[in-house]
Amino acid sequence: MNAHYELPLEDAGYSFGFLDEYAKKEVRRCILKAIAIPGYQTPYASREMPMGRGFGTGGLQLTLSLIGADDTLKVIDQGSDDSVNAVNLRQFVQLTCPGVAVTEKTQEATLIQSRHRIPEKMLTEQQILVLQVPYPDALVVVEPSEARRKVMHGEADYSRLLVKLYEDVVRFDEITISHRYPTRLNGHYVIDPSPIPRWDVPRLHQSPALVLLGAGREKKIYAVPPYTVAEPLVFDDIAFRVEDFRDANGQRIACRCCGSTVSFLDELIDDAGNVTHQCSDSSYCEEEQETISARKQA
Amino acid sequence: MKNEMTMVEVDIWHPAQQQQMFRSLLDAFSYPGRIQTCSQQAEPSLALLAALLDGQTTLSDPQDMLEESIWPKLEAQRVPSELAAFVLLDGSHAPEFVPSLGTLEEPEGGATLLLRVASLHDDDSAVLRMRLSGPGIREAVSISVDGLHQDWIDARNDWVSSFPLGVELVLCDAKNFVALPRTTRIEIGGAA
Ligand SMILES: [Zn+2]
Repeated sequence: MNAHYELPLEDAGYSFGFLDEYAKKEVRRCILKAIAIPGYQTPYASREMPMGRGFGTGGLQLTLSLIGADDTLKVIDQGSDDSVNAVNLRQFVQLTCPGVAVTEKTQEATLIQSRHRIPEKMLTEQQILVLQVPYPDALVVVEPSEARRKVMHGEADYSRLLVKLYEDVVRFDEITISHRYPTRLNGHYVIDPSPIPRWDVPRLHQSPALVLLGAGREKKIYAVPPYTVAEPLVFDDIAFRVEDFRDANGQRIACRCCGSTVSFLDELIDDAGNVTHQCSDSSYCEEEQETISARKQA
Repeated sequence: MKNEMTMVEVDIWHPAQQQQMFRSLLDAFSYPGRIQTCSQQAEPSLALLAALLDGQTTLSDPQDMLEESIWPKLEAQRVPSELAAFVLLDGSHAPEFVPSLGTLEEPEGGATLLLRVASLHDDDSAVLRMRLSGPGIREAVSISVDGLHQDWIDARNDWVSSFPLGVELVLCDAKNFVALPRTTRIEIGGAA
């Protein structure tokens, strides 16, 4: 990304959100259809962005089409507000959207763009979550032809995907998919929910907040509308399970920083070679630490 | 109608106002049945068209509800109602055509119909009562409408019966609007 990028001024002198108004309108029309057809990968004409595809251009185009001067934006990458990618995207939006506030606190944000995680803190109806998607089509592992995949999706024919999942089960005795767990919306379309861990998948179910997913390279937008049934694909005899953070004694492992035993943990190996655990959602972890120190002072 | 539609159009052509209008419509689509109040000094139906349309999309106005002078500003291509992505209609008249419903492979081709009605109510006080459930609705809600021909709802329920094909309805009165995407189950009769 070019930090010295200059804003293009339109004829009217109005410039906000980098994209021209035609590009925004197209994305907006697609978003509405994506909500009306939960999980359907709505095609749009992805625009060139001043950064390579794969750096969240799909998510960024959604954010820029949604955002207004009264929004408060949070950008996270793998749970962190401070990673290079998150900082770059946030700075780009600040540069191109004058007046927009930014925050690291989940509950202060009206718009959250994220890669690989859903915030630990429960989202509300006043918030929109935008997820960056590298591979939008859950069927790509069983069918190379997009034309045929579109028919399969339309007919909600996921028998081959289920067979593929079942082969996994037979071989490994459980469903080994760690990320991008195929998830069915409103009893029809199966989506790739982006590379979020299994931990985050149940949060899509009956979410108070709208979740929008954008794939810049594949030029697709899809949605998990609020209060919608979102079910991970499962078999009768094998339940869906989120990651298990218990130690050898069956104790739930706590975050080394805040002590939380209810968050998704990243595994870290320190200099001495010891394995430690820490909240993946850094903003959640910091707030937990603040709460604890406030309690100690009281 | 024509007079109302051209009365004040202050800022509906400004990108910042269109962004706000879009966000209201986004809320309407996300939470079907929640009646949104138009923040603009214009009829919601016109403000919504201004926010959504450009030369890349198609519009039909079979009852000539729009002033001719509005068309160039909207930029949309004028096509027959059966083919249009957006159709502006007077909801008090029964439907006289079948809109585009999309296809199995491309269900986004289903039309968005903007129906001008007399008034929208979030209670049972108006003539046509509807009970709504489905995605975006946590617990079933009831709304009621004056100035909407019941055949619209019967026809719409038929058009959305083979998901993913279908249409989206946006009901607009003089100040408010409400969205009924194809996934919303509509039962006529209100609160049971
Ligand atoms: Zn922590």
